[in-house]
Amino acid sequence: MNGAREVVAPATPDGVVLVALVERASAGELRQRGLGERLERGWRAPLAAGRCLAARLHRPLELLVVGPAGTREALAAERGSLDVVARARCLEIDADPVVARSLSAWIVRQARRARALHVLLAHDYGAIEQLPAIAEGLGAAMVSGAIGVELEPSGDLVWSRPSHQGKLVERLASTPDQAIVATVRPEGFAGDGESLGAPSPAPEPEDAGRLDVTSDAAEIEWLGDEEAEGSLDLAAAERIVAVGRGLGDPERLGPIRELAVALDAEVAGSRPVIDAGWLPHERQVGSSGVTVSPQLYLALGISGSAQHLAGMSTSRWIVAINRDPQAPIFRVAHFAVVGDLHAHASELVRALEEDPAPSS
Amino acid sequence: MRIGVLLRQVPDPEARLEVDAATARVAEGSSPWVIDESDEAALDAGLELAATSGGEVVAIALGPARADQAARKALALGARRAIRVETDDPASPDVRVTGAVVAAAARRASIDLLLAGAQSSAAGTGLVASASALALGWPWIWLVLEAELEEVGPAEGARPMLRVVQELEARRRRRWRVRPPAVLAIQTGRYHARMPAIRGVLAARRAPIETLEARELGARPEASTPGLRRVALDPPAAATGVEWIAGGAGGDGGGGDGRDWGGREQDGAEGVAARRLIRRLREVGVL
Repeated sequence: MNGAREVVAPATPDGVVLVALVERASAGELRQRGLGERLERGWRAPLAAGRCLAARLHRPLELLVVGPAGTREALAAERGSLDVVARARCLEIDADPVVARSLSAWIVRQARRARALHVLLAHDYGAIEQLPAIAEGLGAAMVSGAIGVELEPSGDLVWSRPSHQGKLVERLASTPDQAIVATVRPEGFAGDGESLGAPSPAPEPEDAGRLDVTSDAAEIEWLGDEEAEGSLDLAAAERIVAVGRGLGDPERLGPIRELAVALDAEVAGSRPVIDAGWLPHERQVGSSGVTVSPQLYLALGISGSAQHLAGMSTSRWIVAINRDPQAPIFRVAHFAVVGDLHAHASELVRALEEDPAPSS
Repeated sequence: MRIGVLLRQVPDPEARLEVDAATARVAEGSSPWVIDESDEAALDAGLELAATSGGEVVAIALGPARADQAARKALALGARRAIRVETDDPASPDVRVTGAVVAAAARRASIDLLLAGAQSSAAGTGLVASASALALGWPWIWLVLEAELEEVGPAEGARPMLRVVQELEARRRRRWRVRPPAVLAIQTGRYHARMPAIRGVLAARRAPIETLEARELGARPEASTPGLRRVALDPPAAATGVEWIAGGAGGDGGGGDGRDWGGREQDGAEGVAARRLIRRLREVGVL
């Protein structure tokens, strides 16, 4: 973890763009589902970012994938969708939590060997936790949670990332020879889908050698993992009524529950509501809770932090009721109502009672 | 054990934010400044660890003069000392700069353990604690839900080991054992903001706060030239594809097509909006 203290080589202005991705599934899970869905969902944004950056800088795009046994074969099967990748390398290893802490030093070595000036990773727990170690090894500055990158006429790059819980977007400029390590948010990258020239199949993935586990067991020891308890399967709910900090008072959950009953929906909450103990942990929606994608997601008094949006933005129909018309939740909503959630919730209950659906 | 707790002020999460375009920062007067929620959790954790281990808490506040308020709150809650590192931008766009400053302050305070919020509600990079740890050469753990010190027998004489519970994606919990000195990035959930008693507040009013210039702390030289410049801080582009449902009479806000949305005389604005919303949800087939 602190093993990345090598002498920093001068950054090469002609360096490649490197996308480094880690598959944490077991070999069995990987055999069953392959890498197609991963490439289409969680890895889509970092790959799109790599494509954009490589195209704008006229530099080759290289891919580094770490995963269990079978990763190289699974990646080879997806070569068609990786047509702009100039070189792909694979490390097959079971990335348990201790091994994962050694990955940063390994990624640093691979990036230096590839003369990478820009290294992009998925914005997930493992990458964020180890990002400073990777950055130090490459003499790079860090961008956490990028959603876009633009090339200025001066040659500077301007990176966008959400700030202040999605209420603002921060733009950060780096000079042409500044090494950058960035994590890319999964919700999408500006420029994804741009045409980048004639497709040609990506080359066969190469074996990226082996990992020397730099054990720091004297300082830190992994004792084990526990899966979340609870029997409620929120992810299976067709309709969800979710409340946020705007609820104000747990005593006021009554009408929210009535609304959920009237809609035949499950009640859920954003992280502040769960942290305050107003709803149990198993009802937390967001990247640190449950990821849901119901037919109907009714967000009441939820401003829409990036971590909440990551857990619900793929819902089929999203209705948001919030006092603040600038709340980020409205950016993913299909129907938006500005106002007091309590007044609207009770009126919704009344309207549903007076005018039940024709089928019920 | 001496426990340092990093305290950063952020705009009130409920506030509407105004940006000073010249500095690309949130305008000083546009919102009340409060201690970041995850830093409050770190302070709670620090006070609890200090109480159980017979140790003490050193508050390390980062920011301009207003950050003294954060330091005073920590003193009112029982912190032994408070340091404020004077900086007009406590969240440098290059997190390595912030990490170097925090690390230098931690060295100055001679602490054995540094606690900081896992992710502030302002910049929210999630990187400040780990960047500080790297600059200190200490191990770190991110997204810590809970931490406790192991009991040490009198013969052992060593610093006690920490037992740490991390909460990851999908509420999976991971347990670690760490030897201090270390940095723990605390998230909310188990630890919460504390409210000081009046007596503590009065005592803290007179307590000294040691003020240090970030420059004097001798941060790493390479950190003096940030690799990133903040060139803008703007609201996101306007939402597209959202249908706004208003409660007023008439067709506007209900789709603007002049249809009868079923609003009735006796309904208030919310009642009209409720009927319009239900009608639209039926039209798209989800109700």
